[in-house]
Amino acid sequence: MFEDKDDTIMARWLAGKLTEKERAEFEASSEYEAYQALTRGLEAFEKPDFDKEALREKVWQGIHRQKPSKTIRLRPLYYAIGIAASLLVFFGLFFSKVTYSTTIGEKSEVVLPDGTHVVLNAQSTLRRQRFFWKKNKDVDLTGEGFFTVTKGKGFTVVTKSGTVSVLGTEFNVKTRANSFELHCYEGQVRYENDVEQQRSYLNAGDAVQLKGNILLEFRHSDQEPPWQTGISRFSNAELLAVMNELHYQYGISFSYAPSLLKGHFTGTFIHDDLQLALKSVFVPMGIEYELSEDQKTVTLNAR
Amino acid sequence: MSQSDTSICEKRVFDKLFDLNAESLRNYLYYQCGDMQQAEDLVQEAFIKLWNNCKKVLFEKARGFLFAVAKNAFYNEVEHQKVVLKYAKRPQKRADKETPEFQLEEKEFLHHLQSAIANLPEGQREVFLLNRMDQMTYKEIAEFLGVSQKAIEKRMHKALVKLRKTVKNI
Repeated sequence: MFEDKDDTIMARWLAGKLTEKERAEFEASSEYEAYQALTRGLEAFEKPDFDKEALREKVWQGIHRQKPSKTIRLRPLYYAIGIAASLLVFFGLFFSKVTYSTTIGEKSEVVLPDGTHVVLNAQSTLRRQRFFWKKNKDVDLTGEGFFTVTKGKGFTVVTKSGTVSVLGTEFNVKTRANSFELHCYEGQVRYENDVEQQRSYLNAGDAVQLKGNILLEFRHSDQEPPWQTGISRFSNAELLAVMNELHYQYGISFSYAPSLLKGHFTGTFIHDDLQLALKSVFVPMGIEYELSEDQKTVTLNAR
Repeated sequence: MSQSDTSICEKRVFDKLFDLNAESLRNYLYYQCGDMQQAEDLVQEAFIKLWNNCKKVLFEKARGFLFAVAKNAFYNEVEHQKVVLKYAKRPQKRADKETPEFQLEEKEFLHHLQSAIANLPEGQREVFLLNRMDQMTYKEIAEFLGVSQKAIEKRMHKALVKLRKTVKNI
């Protein structure tokens, strides 16, 4: 039969690709009639309906209905920013400091990681490295603090008026705008400052005071700083310095004529009774004082 | 015209691809599964996928991409049904054959032909109908299905022989 000639011949016939000779042969074949009927029959069939625009509409609707899921790819710049930020956080933590501070009239006890006790007097700040502090036991101090240092090497108190280095001891450091005092109560400490190249070794009962550029060495007879028991003691101190201490303990301010502030004060005031404290300072100095009703301002007048 | 620098992400280009491919894709799927609704759902899915990958697919590859996606989805989920083709109810051209007897015969003939087509093996049926109904050349179908033109011609030949035998028996 013609259709058995090869395995694609009918496909070629349908596509009109038969040679002249093949077509003649096909038309003479027994199956010719059936194929004619088949092609006629096929003409009656229709392509399935296709509503293109409706389907297009559905496609776009489907696209718009999708939840947007954007992938943000990191670009090199973002990597760099990320790394920089990480480093910043890392070093920020690494070099970050722990701060202990007191405000006016407040006292606070701090225990450092090596067991050292520090009692901070009013209006004082102590700062130390957050990590690896024990490798290099430096603390920064402003204000006044009483230190009971655990035995061990390298404990150093850094102030703007010099550094105090110790080996297991008790001492009090007091820094003010233009003065510095160090009292040693136990063991030995070394004081030095870079500006004037001054240096002093203090044993128990020794004290130094820096007034301006002058370093005074003297003895004291206390077992602990007087402020630890709630009093401030002065020996031949400028009145302005005493008033400053009153401010630290009570938060009061003063109104006065500058000419009033003559003379030096030797004595004490207590920290828990303002009236009594004012009395014990200004009566011996021969100055009249008046406390305002809100207990904030003290007006001074010559007697 | 070179299309290689044409981005499918442009709505205009995407619509053009839809114009070119939607119908033949839909029909191809329909010829296979016989379910128009499913075929159209698959076409929709394939185009949405094409849109989502518009940056990765070149214009020239879009057609292949669509068919690959549709076919894969198809094998996963589609239940196969018999293909039903509509045939014309309008009168035949030749007036001398418009007798009621002939029309009845003709109707019966077409009915038989219809079921013969539906009973063709899937591979032969899709080739046969794409060629006859969608006027795709063997070469186009071959590219479309990713097989050789010779293979398409063989399937076509087999389909024709089978149908001819059916016709003879009617």
